[in-house]
Amino acid sequence: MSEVSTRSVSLLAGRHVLIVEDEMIIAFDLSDIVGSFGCTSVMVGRIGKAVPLAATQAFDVGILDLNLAGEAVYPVAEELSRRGIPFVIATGYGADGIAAAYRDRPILAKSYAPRDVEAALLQALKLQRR
Amino acid sequence: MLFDGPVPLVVGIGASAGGLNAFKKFFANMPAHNGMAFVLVQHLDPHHDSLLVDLIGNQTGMKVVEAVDGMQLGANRVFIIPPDATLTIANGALRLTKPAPPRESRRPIDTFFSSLADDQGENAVCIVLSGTGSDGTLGLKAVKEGGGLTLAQAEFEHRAMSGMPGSAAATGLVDQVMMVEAMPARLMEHRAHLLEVAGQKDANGARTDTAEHLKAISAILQRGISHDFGQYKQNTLVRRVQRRMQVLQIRSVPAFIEHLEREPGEVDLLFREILIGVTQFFRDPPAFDALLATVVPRLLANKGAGDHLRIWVPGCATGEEVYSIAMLLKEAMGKSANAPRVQIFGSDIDDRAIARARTGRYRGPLQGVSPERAGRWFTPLDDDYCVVKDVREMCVFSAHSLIKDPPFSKLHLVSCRNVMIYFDRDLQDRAIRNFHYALAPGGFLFLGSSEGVTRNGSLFATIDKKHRIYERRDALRPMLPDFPVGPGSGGRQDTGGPGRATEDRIDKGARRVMAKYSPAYVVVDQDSQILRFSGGEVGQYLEPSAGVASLNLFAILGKSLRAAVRTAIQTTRSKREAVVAENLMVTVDGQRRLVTLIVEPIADEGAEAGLCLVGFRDEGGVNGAAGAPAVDGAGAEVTGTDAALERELSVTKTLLRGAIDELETTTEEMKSSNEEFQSVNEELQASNEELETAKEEMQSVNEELRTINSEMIDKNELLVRLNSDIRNLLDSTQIATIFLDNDLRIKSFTPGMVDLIHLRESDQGRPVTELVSRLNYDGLEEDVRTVLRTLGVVEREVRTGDGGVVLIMRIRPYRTVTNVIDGVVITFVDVTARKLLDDALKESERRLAAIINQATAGIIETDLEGRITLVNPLFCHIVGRTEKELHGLRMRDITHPEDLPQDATLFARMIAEGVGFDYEKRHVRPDGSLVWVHKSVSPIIDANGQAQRVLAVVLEVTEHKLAEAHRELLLHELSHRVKNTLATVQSIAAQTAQSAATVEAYRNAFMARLMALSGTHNLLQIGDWHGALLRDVVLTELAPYQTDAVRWTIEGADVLLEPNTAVAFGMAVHELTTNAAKYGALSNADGRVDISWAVRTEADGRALAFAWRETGGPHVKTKRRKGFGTRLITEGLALQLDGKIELDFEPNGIRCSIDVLLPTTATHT
Repeated sequence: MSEVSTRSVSLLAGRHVLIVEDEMIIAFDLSDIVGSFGCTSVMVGRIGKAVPLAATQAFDVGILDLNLAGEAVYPVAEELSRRGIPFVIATGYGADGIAAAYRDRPILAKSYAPRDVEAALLQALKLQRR
Repeated sequence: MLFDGPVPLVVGIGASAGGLNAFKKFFANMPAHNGMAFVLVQHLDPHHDSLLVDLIGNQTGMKVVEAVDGMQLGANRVFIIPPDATLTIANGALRLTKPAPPRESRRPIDTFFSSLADDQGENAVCIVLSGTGSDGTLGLKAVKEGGGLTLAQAEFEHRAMSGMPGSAAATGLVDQVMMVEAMPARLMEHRAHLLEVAGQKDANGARTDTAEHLKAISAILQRGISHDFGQYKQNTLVRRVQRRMQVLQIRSVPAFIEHLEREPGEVDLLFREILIGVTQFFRDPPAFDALLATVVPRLLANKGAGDHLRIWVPGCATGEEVYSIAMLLKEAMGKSANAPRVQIFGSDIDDRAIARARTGRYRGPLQGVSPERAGRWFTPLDDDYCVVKDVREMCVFSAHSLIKDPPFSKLHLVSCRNVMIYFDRDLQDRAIRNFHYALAPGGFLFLGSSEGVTRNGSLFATIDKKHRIYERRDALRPMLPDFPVGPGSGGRQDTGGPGRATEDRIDKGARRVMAKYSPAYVVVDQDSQILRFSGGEVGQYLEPSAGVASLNLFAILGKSLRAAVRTAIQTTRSKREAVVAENLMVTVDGQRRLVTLIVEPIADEGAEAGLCLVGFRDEGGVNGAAGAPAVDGAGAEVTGTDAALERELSVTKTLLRGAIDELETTTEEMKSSNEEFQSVNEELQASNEELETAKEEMQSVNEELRTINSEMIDKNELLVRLNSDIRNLLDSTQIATIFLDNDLRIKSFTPGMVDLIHLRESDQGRPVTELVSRLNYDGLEEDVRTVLRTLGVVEREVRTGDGGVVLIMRIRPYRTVTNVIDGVVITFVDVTARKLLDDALKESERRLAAIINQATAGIIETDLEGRITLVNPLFCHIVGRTEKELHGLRMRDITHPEDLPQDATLFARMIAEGVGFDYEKRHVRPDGSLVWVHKSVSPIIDANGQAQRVLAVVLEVTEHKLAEAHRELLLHELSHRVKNTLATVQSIAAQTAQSAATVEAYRNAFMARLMALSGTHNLLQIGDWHGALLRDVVLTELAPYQTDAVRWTIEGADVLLEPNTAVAFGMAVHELTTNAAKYGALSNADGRVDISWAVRTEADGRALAFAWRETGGPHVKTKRRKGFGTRLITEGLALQLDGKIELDFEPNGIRCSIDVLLPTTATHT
């Protein structure tokens, strides 16, 4: 919010973010945070709904909570990877809990401040730019 | 010019490998105009066109052509054999036959040379050049025999090359061995020589000027080598002499004689030249067939094993004929055990030939021998064939002259073929008589095809005229012809019979003498055999003795004349002059007469030397008165002295007569002794021959024995060493050993036995049962007998009498090297110490077993491959298998697959380093369940520091392990839950901040929400985080607004919400409640809230229908700003829960329905 740098705003502004998070309060908060960066976002809380979105809708970047009501978020990550859409993984377990295939993705460790979200998204997008 | 005509000098040249080079050198040195025809025969590949014509053509100016059948030979031309053809020559023209015979019998050079010799005789030249094998050798012999020139290529100097030239030179028939470059010059000289002497030859090619010198040459030969060729056929001798002259390039015979006298070696060379005999195995096969058919059966008839069959082959040369006859007889006798002993004497005057015959070794291929015979009677040795021992042993060879030496005797067969053709007729007659003498009655004579006995028909009867087989006739008493004793004692060896050839000369000589005297006479030879009678009157002086008829002068001469005649003849011979003894008193026909005795030699030298004429001239009768008294010793006219002298003379005469008689008897005996000696001598020669052979055999046997002996010495040393080894072994093993024979007598024993049985060296031979034993054991005798009967082994543990020493006794049968049982061997081994150890070990094992079985830990032992070798009951219990099941399994069979790599790594390290380790792992039970164990593993190390087995002590730790896992899970979950909760709180703080107008409001709202969350968490904690009842969640939110009045109703069965759903419902109900308290049904005194829910079962799980309905509150204002609560319910619940959410702001009260699927599993998000 107030801490967000101008350069970052210009970098993230206008991006469309897929937020996959089953905890409604946290999802609202994430949506507000990315909104503060000038991003639009779509929230989804269940795998069954997230996979079709990830497969069909246009997104610039995703924030995926690792555990969705007891189910791992990997099917969504797979779809995004397939489409070349960058994403960050949000988890309370730390990097150890993530499947090997996605360990090189940026991690958003719970609980996070907005600047953590910004840094993770930038990292994801810069990786994409490379 | 003769040789420029149709018949030039024909030069046959044979070559094989390396021949081309030799051909080139030859023609490079040969002038083109040479008056010779050259025929080149080379071994050629039958399938390959030869380039020889072109190659030779480049070397010479002569015309070179390939030979064509019928081609006439011409001077200055070269003819070359084409491939795959046989070339011969006949009548000066070439004959070509194709194809060549198969390789094994292809000898083109021999074939051509032989035909060349036949066709061209002296006009032939053969040259053997470089090549391998022996082709050309036989052909060269033929050319030599035919009088041609023979040359062979020298390698260097004058030594023949190996291979074909070497083989040819080995025959001794090569005239000159020389370098090939020198051959053309030699040929030119040879041709010049032939041309020069051509004019001096008769129609047969024999030189007319040679014959007259033969006598001189014979004399030189006789002096030089003691062989008289005076009676050899003139033609033969002339040819041989001519050949030597050709070789030596000597043109006149006198010059040759001079050379002969000057060079002693030449005499020998001429001798060898004359002796050249052509012989081969089974020469003239039909004759041999006839011999086999007619003679051999009769020879063998009536002869048994004890009999001898004696055969003589005079003039046998190199022995082929001898061996042929031996083979023939051997074949005829077969393997009969009753065969007579056969002795075949081969003789020849050529000692070199005899030496070769003795070796019995012939250069292959064998001429005249069938392959069957070659295989049966010969052994191949290099290129040669050796006569087998059986045949060789039948034959005896000696150097012997048919003419000069006494013949062999008591023979059954004489084979003398193609020998007499070289003799003149007198010599032939003599030879035939010799054979007659030598043969036993009924013996056979086998002659060559051009020989015969026609002039001695009385001696031999013809059996097979064509093949010249004769049988001895017994009509005449056989007479041993006289032979000169010792060398050089005169050449004339005529026998008693008159030789017709010399008749004229004898008559002539006799007549010449008789012209002077004309008395009655006889002519005697040097042995006093009467050769001539004058006839008539001579009879009165003869007085034949009783007994066998004889022509010996002294046997038939009147006794009164014998002394005087003997004296006179001796005088004549010694002084070589005539003796005339006058007025000898002789009693003739009972009357005393005076006779003049005349003895005179007929000739001084030559064939007639030694012949004497003995004449008797009657000088008239003696006066009867004068004669009688002389005899009577009472003559009146005789003076006293005379009378005494007469008497004395008479007595002396009587004595002399007696002496003479005695002498004659002795002489007779001497003669017969001589005959016997000669026979004995011949036998001795044969024996000597055999002895020499025997000696050679003995030498080789001796050699063998010596070898065997040295082997035996080695073996003996070995035995001595072995014996000492065994003694040392027995002494050092400390195993008391005793050897007994079948009767239990001691044969030998080792020192150790002395301690067990009181033994001394002198006890050997005593029965062991008699001796005092320290052993506490009585069954020895019985056990030994058992062993001897069953041939098994008896083994017992025995103790000494005091029991302090324990011994293992073994009784085994004693087998000799030849596997014969000869007693028994008893060994005693002291096992006292072992026995003690054994007991200690057993005790120790028992202890160990008790420890293992009662241990409170599992114990397992495996080998290095992990095979289970030992387990205790507790281990069996841990892994859920019986001991029986575990044996044979490997550790990996009962280990969890995920732990195998770790097992392998640790195991390998332990074996490498020898240090044990502790670790935890999982075993799998037969039912598939896992057992966690703690294992303390250590290697069992052997004496070498090598791990042999592995022992592990095992404790089960499954419970402990599960508890630990649960704790870790809880810690992990706790951390996660705290973080999640903090994130939620953070979000709530952020969301609340957006809707709060003042800090006061924010604090109230935030605290209320936090308290709601906390309330739900309290419920969940009570439920151990398995979930919370929906009723409790709702009541927790409503509780702060509880008053005395009834403000709400709650209807619905108990539904357990899993934690997430419980939290979500808690927050939703909190928002609904706070809204109702601020603005809705709980904000006044009348309002009320009805809460109800129902659970239904759907296809994908349970569904919950929840309804919130407010009534009686203040009028609801529509279109209010959408606050946090509204957003949470409409968007948040939909986000978190799978279902349909409706929130209606109806004027008389808010309604909210939540229709969601309930998650079935408890989650920990």
